[in-house]
Amino acid sequence: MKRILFVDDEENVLHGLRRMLHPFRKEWEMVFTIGSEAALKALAQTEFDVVVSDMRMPCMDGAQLLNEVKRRHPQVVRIILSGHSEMETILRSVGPTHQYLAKPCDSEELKKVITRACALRDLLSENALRALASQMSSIPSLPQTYTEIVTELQSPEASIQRIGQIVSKDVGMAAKVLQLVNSAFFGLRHHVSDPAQAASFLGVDTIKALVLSVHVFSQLEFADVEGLCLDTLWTHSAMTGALAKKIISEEDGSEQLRGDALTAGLLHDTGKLILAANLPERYAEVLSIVRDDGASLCEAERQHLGNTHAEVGAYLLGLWGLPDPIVEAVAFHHTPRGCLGEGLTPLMAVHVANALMHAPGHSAEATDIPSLDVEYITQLGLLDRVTTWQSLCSEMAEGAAAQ
Amino acid sequence: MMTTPHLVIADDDEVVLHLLEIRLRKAGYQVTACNNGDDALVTIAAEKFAILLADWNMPGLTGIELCERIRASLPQCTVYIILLTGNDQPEQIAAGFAAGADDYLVKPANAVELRARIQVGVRILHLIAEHAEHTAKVRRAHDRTELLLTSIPSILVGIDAHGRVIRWNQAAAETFGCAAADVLGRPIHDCRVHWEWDRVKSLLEKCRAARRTTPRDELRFQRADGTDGCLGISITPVPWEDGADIGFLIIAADISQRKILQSQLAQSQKLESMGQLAAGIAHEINTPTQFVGDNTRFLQDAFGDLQSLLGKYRELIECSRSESVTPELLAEIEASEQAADLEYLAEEIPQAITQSLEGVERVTRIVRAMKDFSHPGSEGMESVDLNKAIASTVTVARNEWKYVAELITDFDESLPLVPCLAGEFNQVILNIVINAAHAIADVVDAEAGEKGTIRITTHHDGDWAEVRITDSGTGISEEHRVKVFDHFFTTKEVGKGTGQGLAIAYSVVTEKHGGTITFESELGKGTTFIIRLPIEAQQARVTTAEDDAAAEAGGAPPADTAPALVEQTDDA
Ligand SMILES: Nc1ncnc2c1ncn2[C@@H]1O[C@H](COP(=O)(O)OP(=O)(O)OP(=O)(O)O)[C@@H](O)[C@H]1O
Ligand SMILES: [Fe+2]
Ligand SMILES: [Fe+2]
Ligand SMILES: [Mg+2]
Repeated sequence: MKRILFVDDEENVLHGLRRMLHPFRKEWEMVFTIGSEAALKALAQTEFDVVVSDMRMPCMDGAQLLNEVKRRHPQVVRIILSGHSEMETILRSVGPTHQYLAKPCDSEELKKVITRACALRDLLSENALRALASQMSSIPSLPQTYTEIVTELQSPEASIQRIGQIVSKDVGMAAKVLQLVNSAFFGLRHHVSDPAQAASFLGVDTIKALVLSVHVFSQLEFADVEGLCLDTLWTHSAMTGALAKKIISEEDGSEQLRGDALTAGLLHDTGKLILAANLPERYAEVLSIVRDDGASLCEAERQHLGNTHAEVGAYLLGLWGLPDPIVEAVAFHHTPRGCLGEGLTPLMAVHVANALMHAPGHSAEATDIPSLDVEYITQLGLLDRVTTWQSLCSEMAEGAAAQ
Repeated sequence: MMTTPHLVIADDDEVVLHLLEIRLRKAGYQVTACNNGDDALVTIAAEKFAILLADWNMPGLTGIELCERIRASLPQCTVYIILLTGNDQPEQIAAGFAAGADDYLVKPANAVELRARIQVGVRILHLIAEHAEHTAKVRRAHDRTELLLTSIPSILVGIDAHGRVIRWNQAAAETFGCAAADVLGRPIHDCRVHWEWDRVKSLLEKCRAARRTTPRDELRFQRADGTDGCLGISITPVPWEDGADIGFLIIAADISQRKILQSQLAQSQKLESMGQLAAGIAHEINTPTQFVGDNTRFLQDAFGDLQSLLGKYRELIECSRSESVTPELLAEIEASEQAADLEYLAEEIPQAITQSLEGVERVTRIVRAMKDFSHPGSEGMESVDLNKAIASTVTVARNEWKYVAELITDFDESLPLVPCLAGEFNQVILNIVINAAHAIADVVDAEAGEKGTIRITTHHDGDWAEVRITDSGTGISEEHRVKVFDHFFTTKEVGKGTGQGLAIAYSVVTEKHGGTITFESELGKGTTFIIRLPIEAQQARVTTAEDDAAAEAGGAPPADTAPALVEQTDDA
């Protein structure tokens, strides 16, 4: 049974929520507290999975409360449910908040968000990893990309196109803008999966405030972990995104699918970054085991850390409210059969693109590509397409080399 | 000042000439002797002041001709001319004076007498010089005044006792598009000036009757280019000559720009405060909307459960009629009851309904208050229920004070309707309430849940309606007390205050309503702002449609003072 804590300064709101969510009483144990003080007390007494808090409350407001929750109980999913639309208030809550819902919030929406947060919990069985991922309020960016965006934003002629371009090539920035746009932070609540589009929804001024004063982006402050070159990881992420999009295009997938594939590809290895940033030594150990024993990365991760980088990444992106197809693609990019799905999906594209990227220059049989799940591709009836995709990959590799 | 004037002697008799020269030199004069008229003329032409002693008959110009020439062609020279001649016939003497001589002496002249007569000349020349000097001074002063008057940017129109224009400065010419030359000397109402004539006339009448400068009024006019403008005008009586009659000085200025700025300022403050309030109002609406929505969803689910339960009950009734009730059916019903959580529903449904109604009521109230507060559509004075206006304003601004203060209202139900510009009055209350909330926020520890108090009372005090807004905030320090009503005086950080709130409140209360706004404050204790508005319409300076209509219909001029208006209404 999942435990959910609701906090508001208005009793009627809590009563309403309690009644509306009454049908969930078998799945969720719900506690309702008036004000932050009582909420912190409840949290200290028992463990909760999700906190849903109002923003403006007397004494300690929602942002302060969630910051406190983040510090004391990092594994708890933090959601704001606020009737406030003031920019200042919203900006303050961006840091500690996984998702932002605007009052009045449709009951279906609220149920969906909470259900999803609970489901995510099951994705990461390892409590420690959960704490570690939910503590992250940003995924670090490469220093040069960070400098690039700050310079652009400080320039008087900052253009949203250029900002979009910069954001779309960086894992951390792309994930963050998608979180902000897909949440009700700025009253947008679009289902957007294209980071450039997300950036243009936010607009130059908002991004400026977010980056320069709230620091929603951060730069890498750690060195390469042995066995994992960060520069290479970025290139690999960007290339996987580009290839995944090409594959979908090649198969005549929709515009939406292409965008999802691009973003899912860019973000697929987010988990590696999270692990390298938070557990550098243990992760280096895992990588060395892979190198020495020839074990698969996922197996090694599961064995030594409890969960794989795919799960860790998907967990955080899920917490941030990124669209499901993207979270799914990230979660299952090494084990696509774990997810039901037919036809063209971002998952399929990312799985294939990732496999091809990890085995560059291969023009061998599909069965010879180490991390390609041939059975999965066969099930989808796309086995005969692999050769075409391989040539797309080679074209891209050549193009990149020529540059 | 002139020194002793130059003495010029003209005589063709060398002996007389010489004798005179010596004598007069001795007497202390600066003397030039000429033995003919032409030389004398040349000498004189170089002098500003001179005394000429001339013979009649001389070679060249005669004495008579010399007089004529000097008077005709040397206007810049002030010359005292004494003819000294043997011609002693009265006709001759008359001819000498006619030619321009000032004095006439028959030869042989007595030396004493001659000196005395020259002395007279000196005195007269002195007088003339002094007079010229005074005249020059007066002229200079006049010129300066004239310059001042022309450079005054205000319109200045002088009217004499007969209503004729005697002064029309540059600003008047430019503003109305008629040159001074076209209007000077003409009766004022013949001048082609497009302003509200009836009101100008009535102002002139008022000024004549009261013999005092009229208070500044505003009237509409048309500029030289045909555009409409607003003129601030006041008329000063000018006692005419013996003081029995009076002329007028009309001083006016095109104040359209200032009026526009003023209204823009008020408008922009209104918009700004709406913008500022919008976020708070959104919150006030979003919160009840949330729980009304949740409750309704709950009621929907509950109704679904109850409906299927009702179906089961109906089945039970059917079965009992046919006496075929089975234990299975009963068990099924019991299970359904349990699934629906009947007890829970019985307890919660009534509450859900009550709270939803409460929420809807809250939204309704705030929406209504918003409408009252912004008070769209009406520009002029109307009778306003101040209690209600204050209640609306406080509701709209609730989010601004509720986290720092309890707000208590204590309204005097006997307060009559007050003539008021509702939108602007609300703005005043809002500004003061927000100030109060800020002042309280500075002294309470909101993090510890502390709150201060804002108390608003109304009171019917004779001819006045009084509103008192008391806060338990910081209080206003001695040095700030004189400044709080100044434009741009603020002690708040950038972004939180612009220092306009009280300045606008002041102008709205005093200028637009003829009321007063004051405050009492004690550091560390709090502040009370006191607004007093006259209950009877007073000094309705704002031109309303009715005023114009009345003026056009040739009816009563717009009331300048309350009693006049009251009397008229009473009579009618
Ligand atoms: N109730 C009060 N208690 C203490 N000080 C006050 C109070 N009301 C006004 N003041 C002082 O008077 C100053 C001027 O007030 P005013 O309302 O004109 O401007 P403001 O509040 O600073 O800015 P604005 O109203 O334009 O946002 C304030 O900055 C504050 O110092
Ligand atoms: Fe991976
Ligand atoms: Fe990868
Ligand atoms: Mg103010």
